[in-house]
Amino acid sequence: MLRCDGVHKSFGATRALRGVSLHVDAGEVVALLGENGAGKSTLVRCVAGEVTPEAGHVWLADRGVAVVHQELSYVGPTSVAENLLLAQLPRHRRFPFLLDRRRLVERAREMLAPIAPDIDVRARMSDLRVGDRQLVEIARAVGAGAAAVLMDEPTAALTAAEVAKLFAAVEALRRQGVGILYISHRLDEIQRVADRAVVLRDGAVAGTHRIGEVTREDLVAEIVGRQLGAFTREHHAEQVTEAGASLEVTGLTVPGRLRALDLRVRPGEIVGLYGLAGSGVELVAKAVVGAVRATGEVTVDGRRLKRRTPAACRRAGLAHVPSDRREEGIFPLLSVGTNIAMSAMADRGGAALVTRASDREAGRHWAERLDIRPRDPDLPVSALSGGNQQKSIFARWLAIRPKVFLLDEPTKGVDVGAKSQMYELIATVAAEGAGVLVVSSELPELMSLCNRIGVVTRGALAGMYSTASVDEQQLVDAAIGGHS
Amino acid sequence: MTQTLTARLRPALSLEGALRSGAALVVIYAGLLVAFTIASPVFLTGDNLLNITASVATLGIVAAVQTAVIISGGFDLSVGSTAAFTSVVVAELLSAGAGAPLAIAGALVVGAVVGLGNALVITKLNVNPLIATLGMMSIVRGAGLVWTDALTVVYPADQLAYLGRARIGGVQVSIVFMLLAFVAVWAVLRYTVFGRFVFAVGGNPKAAFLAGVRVDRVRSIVYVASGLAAGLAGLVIASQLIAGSPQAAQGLELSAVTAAVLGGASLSGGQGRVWMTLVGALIMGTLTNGLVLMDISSFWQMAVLGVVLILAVALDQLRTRARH
Repeated sequence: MLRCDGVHKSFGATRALRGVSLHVDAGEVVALLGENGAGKSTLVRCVAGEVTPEAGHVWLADRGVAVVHQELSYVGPTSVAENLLLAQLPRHRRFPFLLDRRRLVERAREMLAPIAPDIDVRARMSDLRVGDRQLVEIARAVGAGAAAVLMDEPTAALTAAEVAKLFAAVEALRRQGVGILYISHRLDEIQRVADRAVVLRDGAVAGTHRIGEVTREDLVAEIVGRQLGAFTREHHAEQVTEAGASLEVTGLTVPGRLRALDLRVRPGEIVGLYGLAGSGVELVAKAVVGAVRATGEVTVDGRRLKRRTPAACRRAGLAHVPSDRREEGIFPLLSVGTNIAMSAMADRGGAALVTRASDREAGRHWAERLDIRPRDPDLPVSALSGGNQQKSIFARWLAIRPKVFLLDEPTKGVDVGAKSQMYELIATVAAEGAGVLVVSSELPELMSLCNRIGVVTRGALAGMYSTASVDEQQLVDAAIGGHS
Repeated sequence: MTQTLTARLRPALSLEGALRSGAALVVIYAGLLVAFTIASPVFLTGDNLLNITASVATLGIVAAVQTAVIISGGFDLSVGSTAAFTSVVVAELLSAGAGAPLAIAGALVVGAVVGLGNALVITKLNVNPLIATLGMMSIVRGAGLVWTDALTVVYPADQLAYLGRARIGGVQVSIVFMLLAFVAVWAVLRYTVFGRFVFAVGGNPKAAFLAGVRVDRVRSIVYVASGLAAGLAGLVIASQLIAGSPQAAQGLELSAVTAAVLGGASLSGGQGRVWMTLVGALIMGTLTNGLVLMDISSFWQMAVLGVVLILAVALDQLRTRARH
């Protein structure tokens, strides 16, 4: 049904896939496992035909493959039936410019019958629950004749009841002889639905197992199993002063995404947060600074923040480096100097005077200290490499001497050299007494940087571990959730 | 030697370089002047040039601030209606016997209030600036017509002459006001933190918000300033007409946007140069004047204005594409 032979794919210097081979037979459910960045999404895109592999082949059965992405694509305000048959709406026999509503409903019911007979095809798509919308998408894919279905994290947003319905649908498809490639982080679910599991690690297949012949522990070990990064920070407990907290967060809640999160970062401490995609961990920093609407209390250096907006947090000494550099970090049209000077300028108030020379001076000063290259503060920041852009954003905050740093994926899309410079920088600000919270999907990074690491699962803090007494495997295990 | 010279000249000579430096605009303006001078014997006379500057004054005042609004990623289409409404307020106050100081204060208050209205609708109700100010344009225009029954309000001619009609050394005072508006906007954009924020908010509002810039406040101030500029323009109109007219300044907002975009302000925000907007405004004023001299009806002028607006935006797109 679906077969990959030695697929290679690189993006710039990053080798995302290094000769991946796998196959899905008719009526088989194959789980694809791996950490964030292991190459799963690239493989999905290769199979879906969105990117072309440099070497190797993707073989599909005649009828092709359908991909059900995490973000569903549907027309919300129209009916389920119309969504199902959008590409081949039945026309009226005598007046072919009119829609044949009766046949539309009939055919839609036929398509849904094996998968989700209880969904009303006349309901509006946007009125359905997430799980039902997903089932409609699957029905559309199979109805259009797909021989294989690729599901990317299908249960990430589903309730337990919806998951059960989805599994029933998967079972129905399996009986029809459809091959399914099922991508998920949730090992307990995989053990329920899959026949085989393929583990991807660093862009290559690390192992293939029949479910039932492999233990959960072995799978986790295989998902993680790799070398630690070169950087290691000396993190002795005595470096951290017990007294006080730089940052204290209590009951941080984002409806539907985060549940009553409590966190404490002491001066000089680096606390990591780890979670899989969709766990809610990516929202924590933004919720703290008020960039997404959240309830709960935040205390910075002993003072409770009354209003939580990025501007109020800036004044309280809370710096936030967002994960999406291009969308939320840089001002692409402005110079490196102005980009760096932005937060310090905000501290001085709108009426304060500045000149191009003062922007340039700030740029030169920080470019020197953080090794931002090229050393030209007049260059538009968009001309810099990812790593140097990230340093510029970091410099923007360093200039106001914050008491707390919230770093969202600080080394995402940053090359190896700049990465270790970022690590040293983070270690330095902590050594100077700032509290640091690092949200990262890279475990080795957290293991080498942090004093403690918290794991977020399904919107809640599942545990807080001292880095000295935990290993990657335990953290991944906690992040996948379920046992322990 | 020659090689390095041509290498250095090439960017300026290419279409892209010319568009970026604004040299193209100045050349276009020069061409326009030459063309009208040839076409009409009266064009290049002192009196006519003063006519042009007088007509450019109101446009320039609102276009200067409009540039800042566009750089901040917004739009203000309500300036024409506000100027007209303000002229009525001024005329009513003066004919009721209130002195010039009160009339001036009244004009500025009206402008600021309309600007604040725009700001609140845009930042609190999250209405797209185009729609918010389009609505405001209609509201204010309607209010002026209702108030006056669409009639012009006349006031004693000895009042307020200095604003629109008086001259210092041959130059209208209104031109001085316009230049002051340009200098003010230029200085604020270039030499204050607030000015940097305007560019930052227009260039990447999300990043500005996360960097701790109070984005809503920055945008609000920009719209209030635009309202104030419209109020000032209304004063100049009232002084020029020796009356307040609810129908005055039709299309002023489009001319202002056209001038700013001609001058290189990017409709996607984050970019623009105030002094080039002045050149844009001069082009608009000269074009209108030249068409009048050539006896082309005002209806045609309207059509030409539309063509220039579309050309200016197309030019902006070309510039954006050249950048990527």
